[in-house]
Amino acid sequence: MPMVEITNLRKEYKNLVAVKGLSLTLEPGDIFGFIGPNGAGKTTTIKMLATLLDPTSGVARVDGIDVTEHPEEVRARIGYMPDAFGVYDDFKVWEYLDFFASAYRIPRPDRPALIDDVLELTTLTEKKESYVEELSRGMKQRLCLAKTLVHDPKVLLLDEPASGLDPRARIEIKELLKELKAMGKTIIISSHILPELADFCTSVGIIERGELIVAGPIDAVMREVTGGRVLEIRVPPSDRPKAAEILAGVEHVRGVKEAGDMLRVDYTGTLDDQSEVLLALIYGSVRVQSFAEQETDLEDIFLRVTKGLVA
Amino acid sequence: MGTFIENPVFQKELRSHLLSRRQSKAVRIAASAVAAILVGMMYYFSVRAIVRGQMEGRDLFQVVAWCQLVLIIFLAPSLTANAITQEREQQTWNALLLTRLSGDEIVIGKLLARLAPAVILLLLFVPLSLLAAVAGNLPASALYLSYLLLIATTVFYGAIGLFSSWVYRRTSVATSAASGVIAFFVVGTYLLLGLWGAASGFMNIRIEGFAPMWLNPFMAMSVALGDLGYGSPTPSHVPLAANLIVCLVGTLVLVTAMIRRLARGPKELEQ
Ligand SMILES: Nc1ncnc2c1ncn2[C@@H]1O[C@H](COP(=O)(O)OP(=O)(O)O)[C@@H](O)[C@H]1O
Ligand SMILES: [Mg+2]
Repeated sequence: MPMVEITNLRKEYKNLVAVKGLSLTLEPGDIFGFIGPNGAGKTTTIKMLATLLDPTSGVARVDGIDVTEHPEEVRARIGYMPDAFGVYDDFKVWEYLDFFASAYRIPRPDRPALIDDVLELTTLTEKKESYVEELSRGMKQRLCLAKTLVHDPKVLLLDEPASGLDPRARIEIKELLKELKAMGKTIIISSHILPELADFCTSVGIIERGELIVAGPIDAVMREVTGGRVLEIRVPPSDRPKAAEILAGVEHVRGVKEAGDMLRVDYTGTLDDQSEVLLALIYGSVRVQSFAEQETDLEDIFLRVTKGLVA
Repeated sequence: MGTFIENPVFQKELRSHLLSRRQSKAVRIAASAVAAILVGMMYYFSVRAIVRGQMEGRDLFQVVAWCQLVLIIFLAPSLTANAITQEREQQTWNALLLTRLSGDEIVIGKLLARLAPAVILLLLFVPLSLLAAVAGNLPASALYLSYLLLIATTVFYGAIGLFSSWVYRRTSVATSAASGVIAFFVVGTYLLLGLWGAASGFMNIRIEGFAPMWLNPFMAMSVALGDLGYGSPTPSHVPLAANLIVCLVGTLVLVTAMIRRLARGPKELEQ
């Protein structure tokens, strides 16, 4: 059974449609990167999943449970970290967590061990006796994450958890997310910055003006967006015309461009077929100096997909 | 009661608003010292006045009752009017709503914890009232009626503050709204009385029969104290009884409205 299942989800505000018929399915353990520029509808979607907003139409289920029909049960299964959040400044770190543990009905005797566990996980053990107001922004972010973990939710909804953090704090959050991934949590994490999601998401979706433009496993999304890979081949200038001619005749080659001292080849074949490109060049006596696949990162995809859509 | 003390919201509110450790120890000790000196002086001069026969027990009792009422009118709504707006302003409200806390735990926990300072204030006056009542040889009913009214007013005005804190997004707006409603009870009803009096040519006016005055806490207090023989020759208990009923019903209505809305799920206020 899917852990998160969204079907035709729609949210209208007074004079604006923030989310337009969004559908998405996540299996247990999936880490979904929800990517889009500001105002695209990420927060609105996540809030509907978190039972904080009623969808105008459509259905969202968490662990098979409808978020509008049984919000209480959904809440027990989700940990929601809003993009903007506050903490109770005048509490000590452990008191803050103790309050939420009691609010989630964790029996008193179980709380101390639980608090130690989440503090350990979020590397805040040393700050246990500090007042929340004494924490840095990155630590508050981790404390907020610790709070969303006290009831051991299956699904984490993290709305731009790394925004406003310095690079070091970002890395710390990233490490933490990797641990949560290892714990088998299903995670939806939104961001308007791509590279920070690239290395641990299992799937991504790009949302733009309330619509999911592409979604799926990272490599599938890349293929869909780029229509294949880009090969970068370095040959001496004298050999370039010959090389271009040969390449044009190779199967699965869509186009050849000169870019600086490189030839850039749009290739739609499989990885196995890819060697044919190199072989063709070598049989044609082209002096290949280097042959590589261009790294297509999420940033690229994002710019490509949203180009023209972002006014 | 055991479960009530266990209420996480009640404990949290007490911790951050009554036992706040924001202030330094020195500030807290200084503040307690000033308060202790003021209360001590109040007791000293009151008791001295009675012992020296400068003041009658019943006069002192009245003065103390009016003081408490005025303090409560100002204090109760201001204690609760930021109880929810503050959580919204500090962006902690949603997190609270997403927990397994029930609507009544949140509403009642907040209301009672926030009113703790007002209750402490009333408790500080209790011995003095008792003393004055004994010195003035007053009936027990004087004591319990006035305290019944004070407690009912505290809770009702606290509920008005909390309700407006729930309805409005900003503390400033919530505080003004609650103060406005209470100003109507306290001052506005006198204005209505004046209009009504002018309209009827100030003939045959029986204040206690004028329903809007039943909302007025001063009127109710006069009745509670009028019981002592200071009021009209034929004292009527109607305004006091009506006021107590208004406080009780009003509190119930406001509190259940909030609880029921919260029980339907913590949907955000949408503009
Ligand atoms: N409460 C609201 N009332 C009206 N419009 C809103 C509200 N919240 C968000 N919006 C609008 O909905 C759109 C999507 O917003 P949001 O979900 O916050 O985007 P994102 O999180 O991707 O930046 C934006 O155009 C925003 O202005
Ligand atoms: Mg957002």
